[in-house]
Amino acid sequence: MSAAVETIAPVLRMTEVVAGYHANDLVLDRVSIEVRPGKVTVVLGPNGSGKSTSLRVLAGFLEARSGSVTLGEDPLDGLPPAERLRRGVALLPQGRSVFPELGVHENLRLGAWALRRDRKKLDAAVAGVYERYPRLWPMRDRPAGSLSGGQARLLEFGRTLMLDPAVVLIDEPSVGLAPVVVDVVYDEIVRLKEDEGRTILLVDQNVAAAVDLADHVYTLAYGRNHLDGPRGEFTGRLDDLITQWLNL
Amino acid sequence: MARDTTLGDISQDLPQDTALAPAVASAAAGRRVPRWVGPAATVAVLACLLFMPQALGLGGLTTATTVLMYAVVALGWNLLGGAGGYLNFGMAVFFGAGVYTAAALNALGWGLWAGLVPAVVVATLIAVPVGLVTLRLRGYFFAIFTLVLTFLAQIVVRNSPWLGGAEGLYTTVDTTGGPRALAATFYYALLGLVVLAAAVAFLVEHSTLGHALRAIREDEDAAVVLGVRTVGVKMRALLIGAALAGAAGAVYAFLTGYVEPNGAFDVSFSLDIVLVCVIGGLGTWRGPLIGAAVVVLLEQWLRTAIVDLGAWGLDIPAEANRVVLGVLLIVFALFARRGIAGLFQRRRGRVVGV
Repeated sequence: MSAAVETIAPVLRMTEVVAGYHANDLVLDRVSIEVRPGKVTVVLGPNGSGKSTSLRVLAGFLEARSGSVTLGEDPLDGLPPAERLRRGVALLPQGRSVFPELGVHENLRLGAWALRRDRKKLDAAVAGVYERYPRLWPMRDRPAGSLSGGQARLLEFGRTLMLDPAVVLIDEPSVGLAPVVVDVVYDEIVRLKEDEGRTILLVDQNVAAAVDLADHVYTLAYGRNHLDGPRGEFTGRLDDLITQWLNL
Repeated sequence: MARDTTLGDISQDLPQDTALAPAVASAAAGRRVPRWVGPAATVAVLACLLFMPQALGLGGLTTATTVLMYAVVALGWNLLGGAGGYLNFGMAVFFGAGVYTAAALNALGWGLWAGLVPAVVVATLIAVPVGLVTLRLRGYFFAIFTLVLTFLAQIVVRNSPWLGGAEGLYTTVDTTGGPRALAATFYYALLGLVVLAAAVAFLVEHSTLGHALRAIREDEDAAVVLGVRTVGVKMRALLIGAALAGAAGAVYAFLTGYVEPNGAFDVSFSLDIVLVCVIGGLGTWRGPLIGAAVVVLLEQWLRTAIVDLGAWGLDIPAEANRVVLGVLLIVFALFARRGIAGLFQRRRGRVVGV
């Protein structure tokens, strides 16, 4: 799990992206976000401002109607999620996403679908995750549905890291978790960045916690870029921002 | 390293964990059955099945043959439908494709064994465009589209003179050995297909493909997030199922002697296949085997038993057996989602009620 540290990851960038789910309904209106390598970029905004949709466009679940998504010099437009994953862009989705009836071990193996024909690499990747999260090893034969919220989140982290992605897109990591676990989840994100040099894009409603981790912050409003800047510009203004969102 | 142990420790202490204790205990209890019991039982059942033609009368043998036919198609259905959670109400399309391929080739002089391979090929080829169109649809959309396909197939065949149109086609078989020998031939042909289909189902169940299918059933979006090419996975399951249905159809073409559009592409056959899997057990190779026996035998028994009720002054048509089967489907869907096979299995997953 060290590849991410050694190579300087390229910039993941969306430029002037217009996207939406229905023909006459725009969710993103010319949104631009730059995810800087080795940094934590945080996207904030009130409900419905287009945060999760931005992640969906970056991960390849939703095609931009205009604008572009690039990783370094390479355009990602039109590439399916599997291909973006192969290029090192992984998504940790919101809410519970473990497969409840499959075992912990099978859940992890599915995280390395791209390696399924290469047994050696697959086994190494699974072993790497067990090494990273030793707590998963004794649970490997348990159905993932029997895990507690925190354990399931651990499994989801492990599964997302199976292919050792350089860029990790994280959607609302703390939703539905017990408060004690929430802190540890944010610590884990710090570890991804600080110890492993991964690039993080974090979308979060937990504004204070997210800004705490952030190197750079974007805010969206009504599907448009609102503000952006380094963390320092936001720390004192969070209360103002939140009040402003409530009044939108 | 220190951090993740913390995460583990904390999550261990969450209250959900206490609810887990009984489930773990029951899982341990379920494992007490020795490992050799499963394979031994399989071999014993197979041995019994091999001697069925000698042991049963002609009527019994015909019923047993029908059970095997349903089992082959249901085993094929169960890959995408049971493991993958995609309810395909159009299995009769692939079955009918096999029926008509074998029947049409029979008119050119091809026999049962020669017709088997082309029937499989045609059924599989027909599944390719069906899959390309339907497998991008999810949930109810997929189910409804597959239901419509059966009617489409009927219309196409009825208007194809070279397939006999509405009048259908006759098939001829070598009857020199007498009716018993012929019945035994069909029985063994389908028994062979059942063994093949069960082996395929077992292998898929324990392969990456099987895991991916189950992942798709449980959370397709999450599977896509992990880079699983879900359309490809579903396509493979559909094609394997179509191939098995086509093979069964080829045997049926000779078994029935006369094929026509409504019989070959029968919606109630498609529904029966779903019923077999739901009652037997979704997503396990044993399920369709158990379900086929239960559904076919029950259906045949009900058909006479319900009419016998007429002696009590009631006027009930034989078709009322479908009402009983329908009620059974609802009962299983509500209270025994893993079917009969699931009742014997150690409990897994959501049972814990997280």
